[in-house]
Amino acid sequence: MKYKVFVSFIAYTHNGGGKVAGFLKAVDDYLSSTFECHEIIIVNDGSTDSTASEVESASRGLNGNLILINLPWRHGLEPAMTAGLHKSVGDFVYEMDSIDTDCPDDFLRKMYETAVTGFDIVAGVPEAAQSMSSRLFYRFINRVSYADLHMTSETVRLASRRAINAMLSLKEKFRYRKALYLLTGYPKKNLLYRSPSRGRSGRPWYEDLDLALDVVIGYSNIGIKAIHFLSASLAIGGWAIYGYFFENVIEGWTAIMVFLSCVFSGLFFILGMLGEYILRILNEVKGRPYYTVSSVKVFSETANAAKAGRVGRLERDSQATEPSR
Amino acid sequence: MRYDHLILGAGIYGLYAATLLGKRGLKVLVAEYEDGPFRRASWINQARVHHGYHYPRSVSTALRTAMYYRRFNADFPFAINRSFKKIYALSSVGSLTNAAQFLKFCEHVGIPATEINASAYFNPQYVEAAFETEEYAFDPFAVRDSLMEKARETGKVDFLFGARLLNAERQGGVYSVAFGDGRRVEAPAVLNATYSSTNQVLSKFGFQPMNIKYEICEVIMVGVGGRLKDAGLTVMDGQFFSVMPFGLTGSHSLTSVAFTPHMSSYEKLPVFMCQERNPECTPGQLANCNTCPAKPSSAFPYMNQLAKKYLATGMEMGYEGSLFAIKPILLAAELDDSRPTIVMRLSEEPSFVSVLSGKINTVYDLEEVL
Ligand SMILES: Cc1cc2nc3c(=O)[nH]c(=O)nc-3n(C[C@H](O)[C@H](O)[C@H](O)COP(=O)(O)OP(=O)(O)OC[C@H]3O[C@@H](n4cnc5c(N)ncnc54)[C@H](O)[C@@H]3O)c2cc1C
Repeated sequence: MKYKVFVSFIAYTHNGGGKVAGFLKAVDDYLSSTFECHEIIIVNDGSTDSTASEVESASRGLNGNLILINLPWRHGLEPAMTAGLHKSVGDFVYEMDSIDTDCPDDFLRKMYETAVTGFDIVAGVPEAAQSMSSRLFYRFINRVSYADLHMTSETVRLASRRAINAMLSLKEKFRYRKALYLLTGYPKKNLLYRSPSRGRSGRPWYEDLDLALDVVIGYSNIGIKAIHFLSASLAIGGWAIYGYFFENVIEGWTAIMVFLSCVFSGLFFILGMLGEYILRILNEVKGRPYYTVSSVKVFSETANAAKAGRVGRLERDSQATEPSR
Repeated sequence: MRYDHLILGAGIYGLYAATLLGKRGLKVLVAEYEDGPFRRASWINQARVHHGYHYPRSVSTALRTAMYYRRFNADFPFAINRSFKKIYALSSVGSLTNAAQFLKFCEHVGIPATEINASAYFNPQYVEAAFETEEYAFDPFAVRDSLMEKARETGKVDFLFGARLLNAERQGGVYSVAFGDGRRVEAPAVLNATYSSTNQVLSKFGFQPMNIKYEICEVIMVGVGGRLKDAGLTVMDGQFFSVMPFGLTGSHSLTSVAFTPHMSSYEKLPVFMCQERNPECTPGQLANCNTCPAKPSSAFPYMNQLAKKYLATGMEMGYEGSLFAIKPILLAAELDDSRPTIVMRLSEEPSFVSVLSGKINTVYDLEEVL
């Protein structure tokens, strides 16, 4: 029996050309065997490989609409997925942050079944697949954040339409969906799954680092605190070192240098930190579009079926006759 | 058989031309593929009498459209449904126009627009602003009946329904046109008003086909209640969609940019996979999608979801049926979505005129050439 809901499935890819066909087939099989209606949305984040044409040829034979959103340059995960969310029309929406995620169909189904018991947001967390760095990161952010975030690595998420609407209407320019969903206040549940392979985001480390920095700045005031702390401790440290060297150096030259360098490094750190916050304000004020789309392609259910040689699935109710007047 | 003018196609363009020429006392034959008039695009469309709101990126198109709007409403008052509020809304995501620009544009063109509270009809999250405007819906059957009546009144117009155009050749100052039933018609002037078959007819007459993209489109008929009953809604840009009264039939039509087209063809002579299932429908001659055994199944589930997302609660709609037609889109017009009506005179003697229409109410463009 299929669930009588409309489900959207959004997946992110950057240069995933070789893998999209297999991914689409698997997701389409799962969705069409579980739900009455579905659409798949692929967000192609500035791929330089053949991703777009691979998606087009993989649309053949799919059982629902496939929408390809092409972004003209690389935006990064969060803006790209937001583009997908804006396009989606489903009552429930799966968000998969990488097409490399291999989470089993049974688990995806369990996510939906959990959602309908009263959780607007259900997240899939790979068991024991977290890398050291992401474990440390989440420990850190959960500790320093002023919001009660309870964040972990999530590779796939299912959200209800009302949770998505609430999340999208939060005006923040820097969008970290995981935290924004929590801010909506809708009930959330994390489900563990055993991933056959080690979960990797597939992004280079510097992008992860960038995202991590954004999250820390966006959801905690640790930066401000660090500035206060640093300015105090550097002053004390500078004085201590000065004292230590005072007896050995006749001219006092080293002491002054150490003092100066400590103070300047502290100052630059503070400036850097302030710069981050000012950048944030600038971005909010500029009101630039959050993402730019170069094209959207809809591969309709009809066209997908026709390409696979299944044309004109006759339905009794799609008959229309001239209204009698 | 000999006529003064042969018209191919009995949609609004063909019939309007027939009344025009008949009134001048010319002997006219309207040859139509179907068994009656108005079986394709002239029936199967959104029934919107465009007033210009669609063209915030092309003021000249909007100005002309507004002029045609007034004339069409004056000519077919009995076929116009004015009894609903026409609301235009700007999508808050992916919109290329904002509220201030839209109002300025309307003022410039001289078409009314008053900003209203969007949440009366829409989910305010996805709609930046909403405007009450003036735009009507026409009833295709009432237009058809009146044009047929006018043609008959002239006493000069004959009809050939179920016509199968085989080939045409020039013989001195006339075209000699052969039809499937063995009939041969000679006429010094021919009008090609076959819309989605324009290129097919052009090539049978030995002219260059135009650069056209074809889309199999579905216009969904829905039943609505409550506030939607007396309203026509159009969301511009973003996920462009529209639900509005379908003429005087009591149903609403439901369409959207993303889900209305089911398949497209970029060949000059249209090729669709579904043609394999219908031997009557070929790249040389399109048959009727609406009665085709291989027509697509409805995209209503998608459209309904889209509407649910954009509309305020309590605006549900019930599926009544689907209508299918092929829309030819001039490729040069895609960039500024101006959807012009192209009327071309391709030969003087014998005369050959071809029209590819963009809208219903630009039918008056025919007067300049005929
Ligand atoms: C989905 C859709 C929505 C639209 N919405 C609107 C709207 O809201 N407002 C608006 O103003 N316009 C709209 N349009 C455009 C409008 O419908 C057309 O511009 C208009 O109907 C064209 O009229 P026509 O007489 O040229 O074509 P048609 O009504 O299609 O007439 C062409 C006729 O030619 C016949 N024919 C084909 N081949 C041959 C042949 N070989 N020999 C003889 N006869 C032949 C066909 O059977 C047909 O009857 C829409 C179009 C579509 C497809």
